[in-house]
Amino acid sequence: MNRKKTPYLLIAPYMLVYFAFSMFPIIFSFIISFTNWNGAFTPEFCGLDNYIRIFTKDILFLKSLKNTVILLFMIMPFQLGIGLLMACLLKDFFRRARRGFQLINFLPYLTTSVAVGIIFQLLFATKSGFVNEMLRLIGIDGPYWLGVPWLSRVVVAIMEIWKQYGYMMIMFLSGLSTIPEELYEAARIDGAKWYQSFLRITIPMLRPIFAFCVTTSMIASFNLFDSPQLLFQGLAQPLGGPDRSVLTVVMRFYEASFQVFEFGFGSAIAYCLFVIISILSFVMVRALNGKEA
Amino acid sequence: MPKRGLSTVIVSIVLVCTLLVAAFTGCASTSSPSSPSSGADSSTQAAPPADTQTGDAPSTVTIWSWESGHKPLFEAFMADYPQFVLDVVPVEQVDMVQKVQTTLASGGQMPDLTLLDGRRRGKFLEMEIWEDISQEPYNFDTENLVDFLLAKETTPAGSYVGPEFPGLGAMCFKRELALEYFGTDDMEELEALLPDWETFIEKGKEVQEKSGGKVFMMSSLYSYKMIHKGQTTEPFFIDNKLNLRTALQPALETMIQMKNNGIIDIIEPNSPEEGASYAQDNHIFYLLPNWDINATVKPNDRDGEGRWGFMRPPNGFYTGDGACFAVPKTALNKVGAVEYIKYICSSVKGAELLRDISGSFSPYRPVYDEDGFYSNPEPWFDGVDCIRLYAERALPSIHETRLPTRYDADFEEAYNLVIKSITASDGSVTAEELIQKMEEELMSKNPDLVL
Repeated sequence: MNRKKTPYLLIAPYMLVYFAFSMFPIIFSFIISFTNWNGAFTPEFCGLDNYIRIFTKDILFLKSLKNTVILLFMIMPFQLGIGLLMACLLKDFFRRARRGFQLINFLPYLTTSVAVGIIFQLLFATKSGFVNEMLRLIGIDGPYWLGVPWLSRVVVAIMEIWKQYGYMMIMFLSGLSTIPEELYEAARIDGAKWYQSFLRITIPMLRPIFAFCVTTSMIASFNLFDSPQLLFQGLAQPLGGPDRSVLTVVMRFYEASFQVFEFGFGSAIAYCLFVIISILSFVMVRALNGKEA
Repeated sequence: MPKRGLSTVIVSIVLVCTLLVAAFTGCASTSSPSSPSSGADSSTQAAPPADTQTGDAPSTVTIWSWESGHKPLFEAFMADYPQFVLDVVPVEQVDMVQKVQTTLASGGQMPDLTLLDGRRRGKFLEMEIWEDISQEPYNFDTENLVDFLLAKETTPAGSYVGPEFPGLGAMCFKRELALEYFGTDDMEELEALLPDWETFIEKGKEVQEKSGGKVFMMSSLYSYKMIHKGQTTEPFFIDNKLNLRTALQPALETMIQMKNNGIIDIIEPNSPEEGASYAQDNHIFYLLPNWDINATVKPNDRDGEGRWGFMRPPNGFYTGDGACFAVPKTALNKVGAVEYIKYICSSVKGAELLRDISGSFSPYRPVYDEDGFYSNPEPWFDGVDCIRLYAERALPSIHETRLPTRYDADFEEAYNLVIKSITASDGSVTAEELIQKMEEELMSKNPDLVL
């Protein structure tokens, strides 16, 4: 009898904490997504009104969804590309200094987002920012980076790529270490050049890592919040930057829930995002891994 | 085997209990008033809760405040009212609304006293969750308060929630630049030279021309926004109807003119770049709410003694959004909280402390009748008695303010958004387009709003 109970007792703390801090909020927010609730009074049941409002009346949600997809396409290819390139360079050309370079490239990932936000604000300031100072030196009048919608997206993309490519690099390095060295040796003997080995051996062998990186990068892009939020923080700054050009879905959720205090509507946005991410992740994994996924 | 099984069960139970206690420690819905609060500025002293007072033990008043500089004020209150102990929980101004709202949502214990921020005040007042401190048993006297603020401190149902420190606004200028471009650094002459915003724009064009485009009238359009918003009282919303075309369109047209004539620079407001501009010689005028003398001008222009001038902005002085005190109905020590409000906002001593400690103005009207109560020549302003000018010129010129509404925070967002659009525009943007954009955004966020 005791032997049967003990495992349950041992996993009980985890399960209780999981239900209290994960399952309960998930279920609770799903329930309140069908209500109007500002936190102070009893929630009023409103059926599917919040979901209907998201897709028919809330122009900001649709805008945030569009922005998120644009930023995803601006960020993901570069994050993966630079991460892969750095991993291959470190593996093949910087064997002795590999650990040092690895650390240098990984440091942005460890830097706190608040600091990154302030650094990028200073870098891209119109009048005294470092970037515009450099442009001035070569005779170009620097643009209003944080005031023009597309330029603001570029700054957010640079910020995210810079922050995240180190993580991708580590993932690719771990994948590269699993590729047998004999394959490269055989290719060299057959007269293959570095780029041929890269295209014919490295890329195909890294397919599972690619699937993981693409999926996690896509999820991270859909959950993008802190970079654009911190870049445009301040009382005089509109949430989501100029013309709401970097307003992401999570920022819209945050705004609805914690600035306007429409907890029901905010929860409905969160659930819509959950459904979108789930569908895209499923499609992405199926596409990259085939039927095995 | 049975012995081993028993010990495993005991270990399991101990582990379960320990982990659960640790995990749920932070989940308590009510905080004991006698427990010390976290935070560096907390002036907590151990004291029993108000509802369990025995004998002469002091009762704790929990205050959520971002006024970290008010510590001497809290200490003065505790010295004069030993029956109360203040437990001041520091909360950043930007976090206050969220903290109050999430506490309400989670059913947590509200403080005895909090501050309602300008942007969200309308929404909070509508909730009717605040004590009417003008009624029994508190009897807070509103007769002696600065009267133009009372309406914005009252809920739609008529409950008076609490006073605030009047925020008075003027404009400051760099004397050297004023002398160079306007031929004078005298306050009255400059005020006569810049009576309204149309003239301001005309003079700005002259400055641009004379300086070869290097000197601007102000650092950003945000300065104009703040001054104009505090000068006008036309409501942006009438009940649930948008009134932007009447109340805001003229201001947007002025901003577009300012931008198209290049008289305002492109600097992000409240940024390090704007801070640095105070010590440079590219911008002549800055907005000057009364707290900015010590909070902005002096720290940003450390060697600026005698460099600055004080003046009434074009079209007149203005008021800021401000933040009023409020006592939640569910507070544990409401009487103590109101005693603190009375001490700070409704007494000569409170006014003196406010003046000397934080440079804030008191809402207690009798002190303004006392000659020289507010007087302190400012070295940065070449000995000009700014605080006196605020009290004697700015305050009497303001008779009314715009009332808070539930849409104010969304309005601010939309306003800041169109200012960005004007700042980034190539001159082709129109006020009509911007108003339309604001209306769409506001109606999208607030489906009950109509045109």
